[in-house]
Amino acid sequence: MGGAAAGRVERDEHAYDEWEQRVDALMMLLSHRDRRLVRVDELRRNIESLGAEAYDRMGYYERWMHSIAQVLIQRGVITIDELGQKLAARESKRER
Amino acid sequence: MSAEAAAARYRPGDRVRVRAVHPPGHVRTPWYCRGHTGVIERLCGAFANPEELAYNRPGLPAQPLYRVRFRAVDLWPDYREDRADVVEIEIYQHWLEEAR
Amino acid sequence: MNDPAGPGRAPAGDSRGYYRRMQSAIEELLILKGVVTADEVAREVAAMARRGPERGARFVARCWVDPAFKAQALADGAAAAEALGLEVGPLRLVVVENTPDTHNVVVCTLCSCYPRMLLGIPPEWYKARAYRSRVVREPRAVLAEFGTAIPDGVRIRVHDSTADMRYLVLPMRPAGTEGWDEARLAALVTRDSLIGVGLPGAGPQRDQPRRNQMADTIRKLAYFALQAPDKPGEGARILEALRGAGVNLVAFSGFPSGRKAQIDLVPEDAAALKAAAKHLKLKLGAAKTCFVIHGDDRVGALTDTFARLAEAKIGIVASQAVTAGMGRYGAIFWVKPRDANKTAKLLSAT
Repeated sequence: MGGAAAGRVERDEHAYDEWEQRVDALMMLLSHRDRRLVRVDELRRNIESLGAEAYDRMGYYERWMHSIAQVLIQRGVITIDELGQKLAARESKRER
Repeated sequence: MSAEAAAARYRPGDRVRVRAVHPPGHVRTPWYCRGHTGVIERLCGAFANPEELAYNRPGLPAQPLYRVRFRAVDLWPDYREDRADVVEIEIYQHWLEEAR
Repeated sequence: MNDPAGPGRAPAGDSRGYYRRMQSAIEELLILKGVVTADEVAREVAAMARRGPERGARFVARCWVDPAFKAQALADGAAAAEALGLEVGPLRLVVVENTPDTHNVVVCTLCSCYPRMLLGIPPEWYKARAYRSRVVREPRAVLAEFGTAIPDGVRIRVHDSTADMRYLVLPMRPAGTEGWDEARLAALVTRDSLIGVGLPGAGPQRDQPRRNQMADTIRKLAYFALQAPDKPGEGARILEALRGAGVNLVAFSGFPSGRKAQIDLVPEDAAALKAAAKHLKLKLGAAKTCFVIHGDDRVGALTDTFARLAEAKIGIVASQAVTAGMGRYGAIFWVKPRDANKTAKLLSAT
């Protein structure tokens, strides 16, 4: 990305939502040397794999969340089915 | 200093060129410096290869990692700011070759 | 590719909150599998919220007053930080010194590497395309957008942290600060000066928008009111019940209301509170809005926020604030429902 044309630096300083802070916290815990379940390099690789369009469309912690989920599936810590079921349970409870 | 760092090929002050290769996968050598020549500013140490760590492989033996200093005017043909400006990037030994 | 919408996209019409639900789902799975506990996650969130640029500022102030410490900092940043009682984490800290002929700027063009332990979570702009693409290519133009002008004859050294080193800029000590104590000096050191896009303040005036200064986070949150008889033990009864249900509260407020008492509960997880209330047969009112502030304790901590609301003619209906020890404070305030969105935008609340 270095050197590519880009617009003004938007001085965005927003505080993060609770869920985003928890994504950050989860990554710190999972990458900690006591667990080593997600390496920062795996996190980066999976984010890079999103491709430019998804990368630009998604928020920072959305990319992290996508990537952490991918690594956990790749490593066999969780299965796609387990994740699908937990997501479905939440989708049926959605507010608004 | 680790054995790997002691075996490092380059010393501060050496001119090096970054390989102009573009393999797929998780690569930590930025595009904008590939093919360009800079100077070794320091040996940072030896570290496991992130290209391998990205697939949860150990990435050993540890590879020497250097801080390489590039002149901005060398990196950007249209650089309009100060001619003394530099950009310093950490680059793994296997991405570097001796520059003439 | 299975999903016609492409990678990273939730099923059509379902994208809002998809990753928030995923976070909750993954966290639940990891807790069920014994990988992490909810408590560990909460503690990590709190620990990260406590880390802010005032740590980097302390480090710089010490470098300014103590030449031996500065020499150590330049030789081995992590060791120096640890000597000051600052945790640095596993990565290497490299301190780069500004001098009369060199100005340093830090970036991670490949992602968002940043000395988080000393500066806190990186700002959004540091992680965004514009900064990462342009600062290696036209640093002065980018710095000018931050209101920072680097004089002719001073070269810029841009550090692209692509590996395990994390960079901290050691700004030059401003003139006219002779004899100042460390706390006073630290107050001059802005986060932007530690990244290199700004310069330390020369006095009360700062070189960056006010909201960048401190690690105040302002959140717009839902709260739920509960009625209870106004008699001794009611607060304890409700709190114990919620504790038993594992409901974590961000804030709690209780006061007499007519002949009864009203208890306002601000949960970390609204769904969890509602589920617990249903189970405990507690009658919660409808979700309403309040604002919660967490920040570093300092003289006048609340003043800026109140002043900005006053300037925008937004009335504060009620408010409480208290210091929490460990250099932190918290505050809660309410505005009229019709002012809530305006307030959120004004304060960049999330």
